[in-house]
Amino acid sequence: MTHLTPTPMFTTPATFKPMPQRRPLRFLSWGVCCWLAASACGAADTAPLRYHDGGVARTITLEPRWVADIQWPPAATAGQAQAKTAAGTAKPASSVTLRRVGQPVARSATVTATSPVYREGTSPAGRLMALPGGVIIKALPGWSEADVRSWASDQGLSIARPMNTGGGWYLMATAPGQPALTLANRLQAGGDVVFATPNWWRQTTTR
Amino acid sequence: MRPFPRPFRTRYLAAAALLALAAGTASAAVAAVTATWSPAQPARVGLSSLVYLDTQYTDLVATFGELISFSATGPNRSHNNFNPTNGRLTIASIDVGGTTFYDVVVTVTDLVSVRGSAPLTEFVPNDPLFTRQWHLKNTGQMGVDGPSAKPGEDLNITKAWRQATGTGIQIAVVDDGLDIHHEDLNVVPGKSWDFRTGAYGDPSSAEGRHGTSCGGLAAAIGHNNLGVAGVAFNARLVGYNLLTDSTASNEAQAVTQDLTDNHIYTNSYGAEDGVGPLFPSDQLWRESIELGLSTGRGGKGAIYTWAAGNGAPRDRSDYDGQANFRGVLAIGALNAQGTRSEYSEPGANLLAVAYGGEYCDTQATTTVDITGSPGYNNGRTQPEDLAGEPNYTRCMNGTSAAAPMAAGVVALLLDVNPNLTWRDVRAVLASTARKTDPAHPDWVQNGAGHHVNHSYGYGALDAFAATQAAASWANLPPQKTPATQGAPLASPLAMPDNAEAVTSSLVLQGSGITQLEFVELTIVSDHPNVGNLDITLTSPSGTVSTVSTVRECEVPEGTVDDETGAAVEGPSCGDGLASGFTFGIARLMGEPADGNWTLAVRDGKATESGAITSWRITAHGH
Repeated sequence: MTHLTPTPMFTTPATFKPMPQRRPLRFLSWGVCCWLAASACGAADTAPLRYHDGGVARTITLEPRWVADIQWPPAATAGQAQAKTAAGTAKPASSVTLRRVGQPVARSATVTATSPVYREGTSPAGRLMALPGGVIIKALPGWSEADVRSWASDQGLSIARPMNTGGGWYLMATAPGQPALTLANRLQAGGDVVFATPNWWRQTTTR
Repeated sequence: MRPFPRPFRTRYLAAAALLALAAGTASAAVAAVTATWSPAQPARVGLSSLVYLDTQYTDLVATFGELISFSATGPNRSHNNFNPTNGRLTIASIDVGGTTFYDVVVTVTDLVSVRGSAPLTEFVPNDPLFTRQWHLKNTGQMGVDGPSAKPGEDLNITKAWRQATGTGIQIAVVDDGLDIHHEDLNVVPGKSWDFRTGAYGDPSSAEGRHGTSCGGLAAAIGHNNLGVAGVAFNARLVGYNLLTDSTASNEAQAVTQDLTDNHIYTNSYGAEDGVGPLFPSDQLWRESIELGLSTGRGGKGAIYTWAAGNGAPRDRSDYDGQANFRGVLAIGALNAQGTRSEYSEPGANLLAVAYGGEYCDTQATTTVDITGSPGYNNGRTQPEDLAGEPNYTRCMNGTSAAAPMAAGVVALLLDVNPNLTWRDVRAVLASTARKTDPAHPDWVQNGAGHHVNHSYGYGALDAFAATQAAASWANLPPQKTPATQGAPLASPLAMPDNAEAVTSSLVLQGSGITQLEFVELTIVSDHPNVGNLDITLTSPSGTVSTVSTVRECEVPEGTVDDETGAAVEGPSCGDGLASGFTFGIARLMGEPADGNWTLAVRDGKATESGAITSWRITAHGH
């Protein structure tokens, strides 16, 4: 029986009592609860920002008191060879940990970058999101992968991997954080691609 | 004995009549189904067992005409199957000249003899924890602190196992991991995906307990004198630990990974529950699901089961852009009394419900847990869990539990009838679901006569009824081109603040869709707080579907920046309709699409107001 080190996305404290639940199994949100320490509340810069999904502008709101630590390679696989795609391109896998600004990075974490944290939409109850790196594009109809590579090269970009979905979807490699959002919006506005959207990490819970 | 269903083809009358008239004793074994063929009588085939409707026939000899198809690899199904709608017999496996062939489909021309028949009996697996699995066989098991379960409130599966056990079906568990070495799981070697490395690998970890328990509910190995039984206990599993790195690209990959091998993807995760805003899905994710529907299972479509959500009463499954998508089967949860689990979200998108139980101190579900001390149960210190059984837990709950149960039921359907498309699976489940909690006030009959309820969809999944229906199911006609119609709003439809509902209608004409399968409702509004809005859509047949109710939103616990970290209630739910949001409606199945559709929107709270700037429907059906 092999068990890997627990994923570092959310850390559970030693006092965590997994059962019985009084609520259905929602351990990722629990993890967030445990991970984000309580502190004084202050005014937030909540000016809405935009990104595009499927060509539709969507609003996000900055959460300035939180930061996302981007870990690569993940702690669970540190020391292992970086996974390669069939084309031999390094795959930009990542693991995201939310941390309150000012809190220290977890001792065991291999943090290589950080990202701002946003909430989906304009509600304070919106889903937390971060930018672990990458921009997803849908290439113009008729473009081959070679065409996309050539275009990307002209843009100073590279393909991280074509998406299983086909249909001209590619994940483009970018640095984590705000540059990915900026690039996605620039590509969407530029018209060289059908769609461009950040490769969002979103808070996702079990049910 | 029930008569053979119509339409009936004359040349099968002899076979059907002989089956119906035969009498005798059936075999009790769930496996050991054999078929024989001899070159001395090349037009005959012998079967040790055949289940048809609620009767098991033994030692049949039939003559056949045409050999339709066969497979050189298998086994791909649990039992032989006869479909009277096309007169075809599907033989699970048969030895011909020393070579075993699988899924041999022939046309039956006559039935020569039948040794015996008997009413179908229950199959009771010998797994020691099966007696605790009230969701499979509810005998009134006691909860830890009570109450006892209500006998009969279960998946009605024990007789279904005489027809199907999920043989040959592969289920992908998209979750936080899967214990691929678990003693009671049949995991395909080398085909699980580890999103931490971006490669095939071992997705299990101490954090993978949720996915492991889901996998066990769907397909823990049954009748092996060990642990528990899954719904489809001969199906195989793969695990994708998406939740270790839940990026948009990974979400898309998870639902399209190995589409040629996976029949079903079970998904028990999503946006935070119980908070109230709208969470749209991504274009890439939707196109990925569409790819699965169009190319999965050789073009018949992969099946996506989806946990409806645990956020009731604040949340509705309607608000989740993944659970409400037309390509997934949204599954809610029932408790051991056969009523809605208190957390299970209602929604117009709900297809059906399975069993999630309530909580561990009453009745949750019993399934596998990560091997040894990690996981939910270490076997020693959890007083409400299984003592001395660290590889199992009786504390799995949520719509998370219900969705993989549905995946297991689907595996049985595909075992019985692999020709079902994803749309047929949806229709079979809806048409055979049981009207649970019949006194619930929300039950209505839709325009096609189906009982529907926002809390239960079409009702509780009934594995036996579903497999019976699947065995002789005539596939739905091809879908018509989806028909989209926007409302002719000359100006934005203002919603008076905290007042009566306003309405807007549109007329859909010439769609050619006489039987709806799903309806998408897209609304654009500048209202700054969608939590102020009650929204309903009334179909031409008069069925009312609620997709939004007035609510307070909540900042989830642990994500607020105050001294306690506690949840904060009452913030705005945001302008989630500003860019447009698409709701999904599953409850209109069978109704005609053409006619007058009416949207009613009520702003039910003071201080904020807005208008509907546009709305439209897209009707899917045949």
